[in-house]
Amino acid sequence: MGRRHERREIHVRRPMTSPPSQRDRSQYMGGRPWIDGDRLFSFAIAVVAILFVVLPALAPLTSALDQAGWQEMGDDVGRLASLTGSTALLVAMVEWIGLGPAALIGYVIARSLSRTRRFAKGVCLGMGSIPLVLISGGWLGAIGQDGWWPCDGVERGEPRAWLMVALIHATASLPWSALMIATLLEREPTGPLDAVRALGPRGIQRLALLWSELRAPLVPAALWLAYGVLTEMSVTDLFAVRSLAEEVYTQFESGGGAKGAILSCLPLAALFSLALLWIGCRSGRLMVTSEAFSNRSSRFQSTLVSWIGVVTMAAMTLPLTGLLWQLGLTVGAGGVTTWSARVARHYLVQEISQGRLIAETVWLALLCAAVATTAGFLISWRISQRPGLVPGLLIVAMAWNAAIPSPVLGVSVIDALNHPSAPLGLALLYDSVLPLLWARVARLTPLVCLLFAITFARMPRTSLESLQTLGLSARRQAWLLFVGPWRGTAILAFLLAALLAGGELPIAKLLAPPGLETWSMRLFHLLHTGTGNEQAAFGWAMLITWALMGAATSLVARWWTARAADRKPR
Amino acid sequence: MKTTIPILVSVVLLGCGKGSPEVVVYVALDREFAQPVLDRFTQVTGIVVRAKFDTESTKSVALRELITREASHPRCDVFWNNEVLNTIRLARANLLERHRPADADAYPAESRSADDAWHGLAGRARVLLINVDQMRDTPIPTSFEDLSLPAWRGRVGMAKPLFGTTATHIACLYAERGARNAKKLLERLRDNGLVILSGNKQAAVEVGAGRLAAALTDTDDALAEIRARRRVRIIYLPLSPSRPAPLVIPNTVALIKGCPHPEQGRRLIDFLLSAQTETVLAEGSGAQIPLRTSLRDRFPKEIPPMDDVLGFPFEKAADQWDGAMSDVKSTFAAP
Repeated sequence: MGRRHERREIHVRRPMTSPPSQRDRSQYMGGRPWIDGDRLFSFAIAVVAILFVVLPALAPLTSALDQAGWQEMGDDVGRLASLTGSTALLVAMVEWIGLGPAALIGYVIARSLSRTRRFAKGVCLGMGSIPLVLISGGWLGAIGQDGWWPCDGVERGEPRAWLMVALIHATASLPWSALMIATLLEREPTGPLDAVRALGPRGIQRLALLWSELRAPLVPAALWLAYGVLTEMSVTDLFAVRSLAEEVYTQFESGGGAKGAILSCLPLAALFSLALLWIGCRSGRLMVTSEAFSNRSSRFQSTLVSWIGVVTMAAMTLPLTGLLWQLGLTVGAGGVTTWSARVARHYLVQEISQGRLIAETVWLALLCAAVATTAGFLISWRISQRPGLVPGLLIVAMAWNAAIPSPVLGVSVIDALNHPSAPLGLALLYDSVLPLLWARVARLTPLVCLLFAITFARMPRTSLESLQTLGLSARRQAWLLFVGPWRGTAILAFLLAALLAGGELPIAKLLAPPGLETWSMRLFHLLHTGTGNEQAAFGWAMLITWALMGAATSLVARWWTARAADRKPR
Repeated sequence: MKTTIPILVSVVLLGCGKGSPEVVVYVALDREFAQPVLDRFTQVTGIVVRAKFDTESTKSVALRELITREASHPRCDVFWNNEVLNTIRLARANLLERHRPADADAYPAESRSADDAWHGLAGRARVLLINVDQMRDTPIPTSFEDLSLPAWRGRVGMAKPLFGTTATHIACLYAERGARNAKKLLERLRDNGLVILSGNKQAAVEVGAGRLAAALTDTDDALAEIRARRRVRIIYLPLSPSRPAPLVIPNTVALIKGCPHPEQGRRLIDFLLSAQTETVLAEGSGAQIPLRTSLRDRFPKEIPPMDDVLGFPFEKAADQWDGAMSDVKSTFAAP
């Protein structure tokens, strides 16, 4: 009843903000142009949604769902089925290794005091920003041939290599999964649980209680872990473990069989996107209920859980020690390896001095992040304004977009543009960075939308309605939201998108034009050629730049916040 | 301001650097060895080189596929391949432009195509790198058949045989022994636990570390292990008893038909085929084997000498490519 009343209110207010209808157009013809700003704004949002959500979501279907695709799949069904199985097994292994520590760390963070929680989240953000390819390099530096902890058989596709791949993916995803769990747990209603705790449950009861708290936040964390495995190919390639994402890339690059592999990916992607949609719906409800429990009565910290968290976080630094070890490694007489600070400094200075490579990677990452943040914001804003069939379909397309592996997206973009009869598409594909930008933004937009959706769910409805009652134009409303309540999310989304774009490999590998080499490509190449010192120095140069980028963004964010605070009426 | 930003973005995205002369080159040779040569070319000629390198995991085949996909709208001017068969395949697809460099006659006739569609330079030999510590109780292998004996079970490695010089090696085996015999040999090696690694470098590293007793690899990767003072040794494994000479696979360069910068492309090819470039490649860490007869004294000293540097009929191996790769996929590509 209340909802119906709310709808009626919005309906009454709509004429103040919505563009003129066909019937009312005549009254605008005299004083205002036929295409007014709001109509143009809506059109721009539609174009953005089609470009970065709808077309990339359809591209894999149009490129692989044809007779040749089915034929390829039929010819190679046994191997592809086996690959699908091995990819699913790898996902399961990553979940098995990664979810436990992520849950514990997330739990500790969520139940810590405010200051500790902020610090721990910052650490998670920092650790999560390390690109996967760099983490792989670090692990190889630690356990590879010249590592300080060499292990046999990890680079040969043996069972131990499978375990290593799962461990690396789990480690790389750990900070983000922990952060997700912590953020969602913070919003869980803890009042009743605290009351139960006060009764002093022990043993199994306590575990059951923990499970009841963690169950919901574990689902998005599990999806994030699966996303890492399904989308990346650098780790599997380095450790000679076959997965569907790598198969798509390898088959496409060798000139055959990619359609069959793409088709094999689609069922997994469909499952993944359904899960995303389910979480989306569920988390929306969760956010609404959490508003009723904004005051937590108490927090508790378990020493054991804290220690497990600390130990797990320490394990994440293993790749960094590998990178440090490799940086100054020298092989002396008789093959004796020693570590030299002079050698480390020499290689580090040499790599940092490659300004062009740094500049190219950073400006591309920033450009991708800016476009993705803008696109994600506009789409989220439109969805938040008008729920209905079209936004619903858009959400489905976004979930599908986020689910398909990156190499599939890269291959599909090439297929979409590579038509001899369309010279513009060919020119764009071969002579510009636009396809690379397009595919990356299409990959990042759903993630940015997810962040904005969470912010939207946390925002009271009255804030949106008050903007509408002021009679502001749609553009003005969006802008006020962007610089106001959604500002923090915009900064976070920009930072996350820049880091993900900067460290991303499969799309860059497929779509970078000649003369352009990103850091992830260079590092991937160095990992293959085995030049340990250069590879480690490159990794550290990346880390330093990443840290500087993060610091610069947070400074800008602080300045922006301060500026906004100054403008507020006192 | 409203129009300036889109214009600036368009300029940045589509047209930066169009003013200076440039050449686009696809390079399958490792960046570490090729980049200094390309930088030198820019220094000498003032022509900016836009290079696209490939990675170890999809070596040379990926760039060949890219050139094929771009055939209707080529953006690559020069293909610098680190092997020969994929260049021959491009020539057969009529995607290469004829060009005869001034220095062409300084190279043996078998290092280039008869119609000047491609030219070979500095090569690498395919070798078996063995770890001497692992050889104490095992006789040194002298043929591929030896590697399929029980004594070598699970102790021999090889890079992914679908790409790079390893794929070339397999196609040459097919040409030399016939498809049926070669396939049987591959199956025997697979059944004997042949370890497939992500690249030639990894194969050499595994032997250097003593985790594998032997691996098929290239001379440059083998030399890196020797120069790192690992206890390894190079052995030439003949393709068949009737052809004892080692297989030397040359780099090849070719001009792409309909390329956007043909003049600059020709100049780059001339530069790459100069004596100076072969000397740099031979004396660099890649230790490439010079093909010019006048540079035979620059033969890397760590590599065992060989009588016949270029004697293999690569055109014949190119005929076997499709069949060989199909067999390789079915034999080794299972996950």
